[in-house]
Amino acid sequence: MNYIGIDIGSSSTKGVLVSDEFKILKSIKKDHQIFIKNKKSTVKGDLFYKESIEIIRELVKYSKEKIGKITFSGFESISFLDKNGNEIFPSITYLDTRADSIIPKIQNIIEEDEIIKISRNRISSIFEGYKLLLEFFKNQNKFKNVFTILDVPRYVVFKLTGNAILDKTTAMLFAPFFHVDKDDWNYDFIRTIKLNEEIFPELREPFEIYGNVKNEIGNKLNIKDAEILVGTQDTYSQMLSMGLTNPNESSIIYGTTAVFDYIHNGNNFNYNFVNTRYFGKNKYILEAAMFNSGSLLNWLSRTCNKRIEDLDKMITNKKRPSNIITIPFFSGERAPIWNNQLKGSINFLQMDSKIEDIYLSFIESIGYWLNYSLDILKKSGIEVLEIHSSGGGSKSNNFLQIISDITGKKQIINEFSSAEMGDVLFGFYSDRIIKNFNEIKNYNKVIREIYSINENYIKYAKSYRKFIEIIKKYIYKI
Amino acid sequence: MEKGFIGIDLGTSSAKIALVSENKKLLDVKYKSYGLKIGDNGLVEQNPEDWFKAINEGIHEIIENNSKIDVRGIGLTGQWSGTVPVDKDGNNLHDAIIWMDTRGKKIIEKVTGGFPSISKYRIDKLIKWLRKTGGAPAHSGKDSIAHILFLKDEMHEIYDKTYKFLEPKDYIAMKLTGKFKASWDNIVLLWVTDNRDPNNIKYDDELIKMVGIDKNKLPEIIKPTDIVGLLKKEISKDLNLPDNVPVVSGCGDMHSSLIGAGLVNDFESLLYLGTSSWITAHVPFKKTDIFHNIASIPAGIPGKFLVAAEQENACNCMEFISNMLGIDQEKYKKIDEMAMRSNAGSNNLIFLPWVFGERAPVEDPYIRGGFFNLSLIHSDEDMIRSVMEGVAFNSKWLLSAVEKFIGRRINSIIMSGGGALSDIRVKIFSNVLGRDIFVIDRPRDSGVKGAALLAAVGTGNMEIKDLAGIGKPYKEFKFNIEENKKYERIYKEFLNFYKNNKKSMHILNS
Repeated sequence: MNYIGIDIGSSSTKGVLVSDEFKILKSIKKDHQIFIKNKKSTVKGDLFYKESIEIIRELVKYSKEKIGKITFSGFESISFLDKNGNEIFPSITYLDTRADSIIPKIQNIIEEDEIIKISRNRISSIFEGYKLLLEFFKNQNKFKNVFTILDVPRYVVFKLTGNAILDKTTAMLFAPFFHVDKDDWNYDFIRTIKLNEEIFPELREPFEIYGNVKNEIGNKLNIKDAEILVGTQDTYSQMLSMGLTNPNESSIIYGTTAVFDYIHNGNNFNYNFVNTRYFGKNKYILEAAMFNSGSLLNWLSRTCNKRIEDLDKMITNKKRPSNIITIPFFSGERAPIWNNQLKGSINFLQMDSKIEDIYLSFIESIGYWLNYSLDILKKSGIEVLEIHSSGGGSKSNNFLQIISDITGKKQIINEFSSAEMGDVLFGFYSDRIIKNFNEIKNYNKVIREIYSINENYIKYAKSYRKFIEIIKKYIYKI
Repeated sequence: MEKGFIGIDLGTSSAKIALVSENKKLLDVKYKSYGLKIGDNGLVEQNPEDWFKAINEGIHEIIENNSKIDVRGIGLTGQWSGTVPVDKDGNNLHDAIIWMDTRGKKIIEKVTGGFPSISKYRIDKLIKWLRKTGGAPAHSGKDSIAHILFLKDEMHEIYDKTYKFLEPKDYIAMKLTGKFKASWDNIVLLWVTDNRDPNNIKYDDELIKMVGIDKNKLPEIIKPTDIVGLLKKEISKDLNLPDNVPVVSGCGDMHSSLIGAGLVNDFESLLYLGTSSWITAHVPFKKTDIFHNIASIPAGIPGKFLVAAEQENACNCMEFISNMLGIDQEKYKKIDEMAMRSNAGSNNLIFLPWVFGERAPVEDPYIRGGFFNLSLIHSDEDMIRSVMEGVAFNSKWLLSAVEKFIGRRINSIIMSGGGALSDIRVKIFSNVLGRDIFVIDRPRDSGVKGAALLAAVGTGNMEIKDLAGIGKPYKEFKFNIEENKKYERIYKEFLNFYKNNKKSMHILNS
């Protein structure tokens, strides 16, 4: 039996075919891009459906055995579908912040404290529930045609199976429509808003069965016996791929954004951050999604017309810390300061400053900002000692060392770490190839550990104070 | 045979050597570049032998190309506020410490400070300086007095061996003539001269004692129109010039740019846009604004003062951004084209041009450059345009201070300098400043032309009044009201940035 994992990410859709003996048989990637303009970031879900079908078709060609399970993960989003799986409105991505405009209206309907009590999250346009309300308030007539709301990966699965199901992990990101204590939709609020309860899909765990592929599609793709699992967000699938499922474990994924996640058992909700539900009972996550990470480095690479790899080489022997201090909020910032209006700045430029100095300062700014979140966690009693690092940034020795030097934290690199592999592991768990998630650590070895160098840590502590000084007192007045 | 005068402009990045006819026409110009050494702790030096080599080559080429011109004099201008320590034979004992070097910051703060103080100047010292010189040593450490004190403090062997400390232009005059002399306009940044009578500037013993340098190590002071000496025989021979060509001392680049632009009457204002930038005009009074670091100082024209309001960062920022973005071939053409593809306001991106600290309208060695309000939507084109705009915002700030200083509005601005060759940059300046701008003919060469013409005056071949209006014909740039309104909004934020962050910059950079 073979397993397929498909991750619909911000810059590509990736698929992997894995044998039940944990052998990767084939990987496929299809590039795409999502955009934001004037706070708006929407996509056509059909593009991702087509990409997914192509990937499945190609992967199946490499499979000599039957496909057992197929699991999808992907970026945070909300799709509005009619009965036939057509989008009533374009799907809205996590980058979209237009819902900022309706927040005062919501505050008139329900107190923020009440929302926090129920959803364990503050009011913010980053949550899918507010994006839903944006469309609902704007287009009530058109909204009547909405049959169900899902995210983009589940939209693809809806097209494949005809069923509307959402995982509970993603559902918590649909705040304020998820009731954490009830572990179900927040029907009281749904009724208060006068939304049709029926559009809120059934909720299941990510590792549960979603359904079978429709016959006509199953036959065409030669996957008619395959079952599709519910799946979840890409971040959590990727964490699973590293075997991170226990309280006090933490991860950082350095992608376009850098997402830091800390697993806890429900006693550490902190409203400076995003609080989400992890899979299984009583497992939650504190999440600091640093909006500006790889996007900064890509921006610099594009602007100066130099490859990131080349810029990275140029800083290998550079004196650290850089004299330049960058404030990284090029796209506003979410947790822990929650201000979409913020912009970035590059400070302390001197005539002899070079592009590699700016590149170094960009990486440092990511480190400083992570450190700021870690400081807040520490003040709330959570001491993070080590972080499992993955994503594009983790491929650069310079990047990793700088982050460890700034934060003083050990970083751990696993042999593999990807959302599509996490998807496959959900399939393994569903078919009892692994009996519990801790077994993943036996498959996915630690290949490297990066320690903070004390001398650098001391130097960076001084620069970090400068960074905070700029942010707090003079520029942004947090 | 037509008479001609050679002008030498010793710039920071290159030397210009020009030949001007007795009809005030620029016949030929050569540009020769040389390097700049930037190091730790504020070190900015140049090798003076590189200067002389470049100038020598330029004069050779000028003479070869214009053999029918009877050269009757050589005049000098160039960077000032630099120091070359030389021995009795005219050999430099150390590289030139130029106007950008800030290593003398600590020692000058010590020498000028004490209790009770105002703006970190001991009050009694400040009063003496203001009364006699019209200003006081800048705390940035960029004045020549700070350079000399730095040598005395940190490299006392060189200080002890030094026969004379010469300003860059005066070093070249010494190399050409063998005479150690300084024009009085050029030496004011030693802050040891009594400048109250613009016809008789002289060293002041009390001020010399106050700064603690040896008077014997200072060169003789002469007028900018005085002859330093005749060209050395070996140089005349090498250049194929007659033995008796006089070398006229000339004046600093700011002073010379006014003369070369034909602005010899009081209150005719010039905005020069070169590596650095300045707004200047001859004025009939001596005055100081210590809060904006603006003063009227002895002019290149004996008997006159001129407004010295210099901003440190201008076209050096163009160098900065083109280096940063890896634009090397035809860079000025490219950056102009790229700036044109962005829009007024650069999508609200603000560049802070203080990559070398700033001199005016705030003397602040601790502020630094930066890009503010950056987002992922910004392109390299926005960045380049914002650099041009950031420089213009600082000039707008400076203009308002200069207008207060001279007590009148400058309705239209005459512009010169290499930056004025770029239409897009001049348009940006015009729209930011909200003024019509008139760019003089051959704007890049106004300083060197002024040097040549001052040689004509110094050798008795011309009078100052003959130079009025020689910058014409002008190229006119009318300002656009809509764009000016847009810039006004961003300019407020530019000023706010400084106000909100200066304290932080001081804490972080001091």
